[in-house]
Amino acid sequence: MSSAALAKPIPHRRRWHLGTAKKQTLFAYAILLPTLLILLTFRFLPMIDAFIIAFTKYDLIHPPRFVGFANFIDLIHDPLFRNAAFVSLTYVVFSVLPVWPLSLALAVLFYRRLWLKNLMRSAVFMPVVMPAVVMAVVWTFMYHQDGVINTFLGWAGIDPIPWLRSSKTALWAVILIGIWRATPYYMVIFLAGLQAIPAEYYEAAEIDGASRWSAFWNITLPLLKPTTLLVMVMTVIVAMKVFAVPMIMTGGGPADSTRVLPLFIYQTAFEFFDMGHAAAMSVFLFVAVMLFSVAQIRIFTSGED
Amino acid sequence: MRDPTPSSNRTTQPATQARTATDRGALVMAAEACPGGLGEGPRSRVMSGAACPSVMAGAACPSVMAGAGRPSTASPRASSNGVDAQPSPATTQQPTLQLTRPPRRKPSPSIFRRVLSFRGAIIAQLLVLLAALIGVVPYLWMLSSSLRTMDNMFALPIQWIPHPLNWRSYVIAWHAQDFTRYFINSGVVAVAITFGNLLLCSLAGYSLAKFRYFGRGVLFLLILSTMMLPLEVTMVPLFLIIKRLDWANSYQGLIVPFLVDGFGVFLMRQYMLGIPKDLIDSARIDGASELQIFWQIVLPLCKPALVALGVFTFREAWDMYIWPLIIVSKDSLRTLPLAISLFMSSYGTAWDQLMAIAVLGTLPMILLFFFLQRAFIQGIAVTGLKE
Repeated sequence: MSSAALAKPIPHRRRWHLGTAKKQTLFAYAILLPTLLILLTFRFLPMIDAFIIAFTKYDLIHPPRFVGFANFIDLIHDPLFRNAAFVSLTYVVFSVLPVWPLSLALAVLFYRRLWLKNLMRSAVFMPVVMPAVVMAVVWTFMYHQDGVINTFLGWAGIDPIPWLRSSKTALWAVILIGIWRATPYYMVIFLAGLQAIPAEYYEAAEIDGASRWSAFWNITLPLLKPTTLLVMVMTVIVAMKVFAVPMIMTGGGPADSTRVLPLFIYQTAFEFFDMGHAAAMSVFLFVAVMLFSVAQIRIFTSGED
Repeated sequence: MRDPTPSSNRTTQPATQARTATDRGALVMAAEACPGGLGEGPRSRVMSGAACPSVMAGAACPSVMAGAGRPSTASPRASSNGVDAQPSPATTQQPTLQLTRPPRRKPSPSIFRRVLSFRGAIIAQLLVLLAALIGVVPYLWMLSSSLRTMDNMFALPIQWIPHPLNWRSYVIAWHAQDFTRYFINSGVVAVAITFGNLLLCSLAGYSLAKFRYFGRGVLFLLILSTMMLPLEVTMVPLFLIIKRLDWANSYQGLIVPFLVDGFGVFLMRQYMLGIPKDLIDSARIDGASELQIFWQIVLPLCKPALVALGVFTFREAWDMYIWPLIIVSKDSLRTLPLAISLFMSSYGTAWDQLMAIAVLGTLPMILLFFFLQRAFIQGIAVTGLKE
């Protein structure tokens, strides 16, 4: 830091600066302005647009035509939309539930002395490093009928599973990847939470003769509650937004079994050019995401005055 | 009552020593050997100040016991009867000779505990090893498949180290399409988004953290609330806006909407709240301009947060798939994720080439991870930041 440069007085400026609260306020507004402009133009404006387009019929060629609630009513009766909502719900529930205990357990495991700890942690963390598209490509290959996963299953005496080819298994294959990707991510967050717990608590528990298990239930878990809440909310939001993996691996098939809501929105808008219905679905997704985001923001700002 | 904490190998012999000591009427020893005295700190204090051992034996033991949190039938007896302060050492079996033992920081675990924790350590190690394997196997499989010839692609038993090595898959795949171009595109977009975020998020964060003005709270919440407007929700109207701006198929269309992010602003603000106001005020008195203060004082102090945010943003930008998919139709503007997905749909069965491209597309992330591992993990950890 150039304290020498700062110490050098700048006479005519100095007078100008002292007691210029107004100028400071102006500066504060000015440096906030680019952020506000970008967010207003590319986040809020589109959201408002989405609400408007949701009430129109618009195919990008003909000008939009107001149709009232028709799009929403169509959606409620549309089996494809119902399917997408159901698939998304299934994906969210089953890709999220295992991640909580798994990531917490891994974090707790890494919070003790281990052989080759750093190497192990890097290895466990690797799924987060892999780009989503690469992940989709590699796992598609691994899920191949003659691929490595079926070979592993063969060692355990299990018959090959037609992972992505069957509407019964495709969604579970996609869910498995979601778990693979998310677990180390939230492990890191849990580890950060664990590090915030004072070591004295564990020392006291040890002196008291408490077992590791009871220390976990009585110290770790209660003190990790805010972290756990946040992880729960974050996992759900991320799971609701899943797009790249089902898009690349299955395109929504077979038999619509992996057509999650974001994928259905994309296909309605950019493959069938039905902006109205796509926007109406976006509104549904928005409401779902919002419920959890509000919880997340409340956790973030819980310490504010 | 058996105490789990004291070391097992010290249990038996000192116990007998203590007993003989009591027989000899050595009250100091009795006080010493009082089962409550097993804790580290309090007892040594008792020792040094043991002017009247019998009193000490009565008074000190229960308090130490209480400190250790162990209920004991022994201590009341010890307090009521100072002379017979060594209460039935045969049942407690805990007494130790403190005079000869150096003070310890931690009580060492009993044999039962140690065996348990040894077994626990092995189980933990195995579980972690399993998790590590699960994390790494797809990488190994990707790498080894990229080097296998198509004839051996599904050969059994699995060829982890392919024979013969097939380096040509990399060359063929790279030249099958203009991957140099896609790499550059992805690099340009990710770097621009990263630096845009570093600058704008820290500017906005500074404004929200260190200035007081009308509407600050509302603006902060407004910015934070963009976190509930993910691209998956706004993609349709955002595409229409970009089209109206005539930014489809352009770098600015890929970059500008993501130049700032609500969470990034939040992160920088939280970090800057910790910067002392005095530092900024004294710089003002020294005549520094507001921009100078930000650039030369505040920003250097935020380096850890900036590195974490930068790595996190770069990773997200490099990963971005849905947006290029929507607004890029021109071949020359494809980013790497888009190109890989299109490559897969047109060369779907050329697994060696696909895996080669997958390896190359992952490489920048792996390099980033290994060179900036701490920042990479920190960048994830801060997404779980809370107050």
